[in-house]
Amino acid sequence: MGLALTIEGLTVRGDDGRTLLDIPSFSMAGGEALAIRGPSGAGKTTFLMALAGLVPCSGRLLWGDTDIAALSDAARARLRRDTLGLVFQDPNLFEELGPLDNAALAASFGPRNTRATLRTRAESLLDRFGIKADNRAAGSHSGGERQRIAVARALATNPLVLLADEPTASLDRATGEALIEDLFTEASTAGRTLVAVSHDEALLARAPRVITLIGGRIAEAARA
Amino acid sequence: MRDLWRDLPVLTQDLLILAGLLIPLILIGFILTRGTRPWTIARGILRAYPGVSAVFVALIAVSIAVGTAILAQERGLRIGSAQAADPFTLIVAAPGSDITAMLAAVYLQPSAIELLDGAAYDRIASHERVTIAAPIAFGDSWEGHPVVGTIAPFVNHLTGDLAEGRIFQTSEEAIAGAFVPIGIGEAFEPAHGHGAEAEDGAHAGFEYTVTGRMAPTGSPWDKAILVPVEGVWQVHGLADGHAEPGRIGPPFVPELFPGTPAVLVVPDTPFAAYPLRSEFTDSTMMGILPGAVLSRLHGLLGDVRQALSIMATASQALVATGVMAGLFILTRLLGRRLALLRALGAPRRFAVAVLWTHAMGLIVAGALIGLALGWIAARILGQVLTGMTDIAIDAPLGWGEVHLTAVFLSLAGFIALLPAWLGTRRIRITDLRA
Repeated sequence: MGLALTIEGLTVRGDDGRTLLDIPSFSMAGGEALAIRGPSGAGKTTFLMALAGLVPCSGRLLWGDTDIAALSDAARARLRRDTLGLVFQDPNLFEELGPLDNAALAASFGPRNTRATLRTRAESLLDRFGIKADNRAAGSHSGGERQRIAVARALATNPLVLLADEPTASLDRATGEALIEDLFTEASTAGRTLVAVSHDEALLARAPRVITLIGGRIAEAARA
Repeated sequence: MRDLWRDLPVLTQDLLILAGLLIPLILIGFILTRGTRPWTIARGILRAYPGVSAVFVALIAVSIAVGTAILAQERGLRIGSAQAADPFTLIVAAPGSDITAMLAAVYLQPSAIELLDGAAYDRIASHERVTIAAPIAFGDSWEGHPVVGTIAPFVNHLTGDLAEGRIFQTSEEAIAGAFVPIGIGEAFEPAHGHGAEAEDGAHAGFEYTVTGRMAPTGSPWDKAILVPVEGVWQVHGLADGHAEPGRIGPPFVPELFPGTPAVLVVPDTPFAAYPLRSEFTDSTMMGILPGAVLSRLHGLLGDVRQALSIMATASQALVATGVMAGLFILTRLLGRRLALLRALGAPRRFAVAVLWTHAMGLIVAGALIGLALGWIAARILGQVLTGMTDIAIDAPLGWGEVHLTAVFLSLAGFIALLPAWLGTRRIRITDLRA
């Protein structure tokens, strides 16, 4: 089962001291799926980055019992490696490497005893997403295929939490819908906690819970 | 411990030194990449920038090649010049510069030196410990090849058995050096003088006939034509050292001996050369041990070698620093990939390891290609220098060059940490945003 999220007094400030995110209280259950929407500059990506421990923040941000805000840089990196899966708006692949090397990227720096399992998982995920695990450079694949390779990379470590930032933004409608289906099915089947930032109505419609961010604050919350 | 080291075979010593010099590089690599596998991603970076990678590899390869080729050449020249001087145990000349006399007698470099007279020659030749006392005579040439007058026993000493034909038996016969383009049985008219100043026709009507060819000696004598010393004297209108006409070779009548710039002495044992040098050094003559003169010159070359080594290392360090600066700029282009690794949970050490592995991949490839190029360049340069000096210069790469490259690699291993570390310091997660 995925990890529960608990937030108390979370604040993220920019380099100029401006408050980018201010969330007094928020929580979601383990295995729950959440979509975040809002206008540009509302703090959606900052929220997601804070959830991944990628931006400095104050307050308490607990994944299960672990307060990510209180962890050292190295411990946050370990948490991301072992617990969180990240999907970005751009696939951010090593374009010259093949799909399998990309999907199993964490095997390069993960614990030695998990490498073989991780590669097997990556291969099986690519197969499930219809991507051939050959040596063809990832850069030569279509946009939809590259984003699916990125999703396979996020899931290959079998994370308890999946964080996705505008995963369908650079895809056409049909490809985007297929990817949304993959994301939500994967999350619900494995009981992962899913947080996705998106403008995509199809994704928002698929999410059982949606929050709207405006000016770095939660302005609206809705459940399906 | 010292005895144990001395008892080891030379190859083992060289291999152990190589391993020792590479230890810093291996240690850095081990500590940095321990428990991780950065090469897959480093390979991806190499593929992403093939042009830049090729330029970096080429720069390092050329720098290593130039350094190794020059050092190998210097060693080849030293060994070649020593081997060329090998048959010349002792030279006796008129007092003056020992280097000039050695250059004239061993390397056949034309120079104006005082002559030893018949009495001096007789004193040398009649010494009980002297096996051969060969007078030499210069002054003529044929198509750029010096014609050197000497005696048959010295030709045999110099070359052993002839490669073909027989030794000269009259003052009008000649032995061609191994690389003189003239056939046995052919006759030639010597020109007076050498090079551009040689006067064709000065000895019109006088011809030598080639009767034999020497085996290669690896010295300038391979491009010389050896004739009886009497022939050179006769063609210049001098007495020929003998009372009876037509006779060649020792003994010579001192009063009829026209003089020689040097006497090439073969003592009965190699060790006799030292006392003989002392005996033949006084106000009228000067004993020269070419080996000792060469060691002096090589001592000087040793300083040059040290300077060359320092310059080669410095130029390699400069190139390595330039490449590191280039790599640092490259890491800016890699910001997004590094940010991705950090976002996926890779430790900072892994990001440093990726950049370091990429840098060392280029440097090691450049060094290996450089060694190969240096070997080829040393061979080519050796042939060019052999053509220029007539001294057989074989300049293979030695362990010295390999060890120097190992030092370079270990130093580069340290230096490469800097751009790698600096590159990971400026990772910004915002780089990941489209």
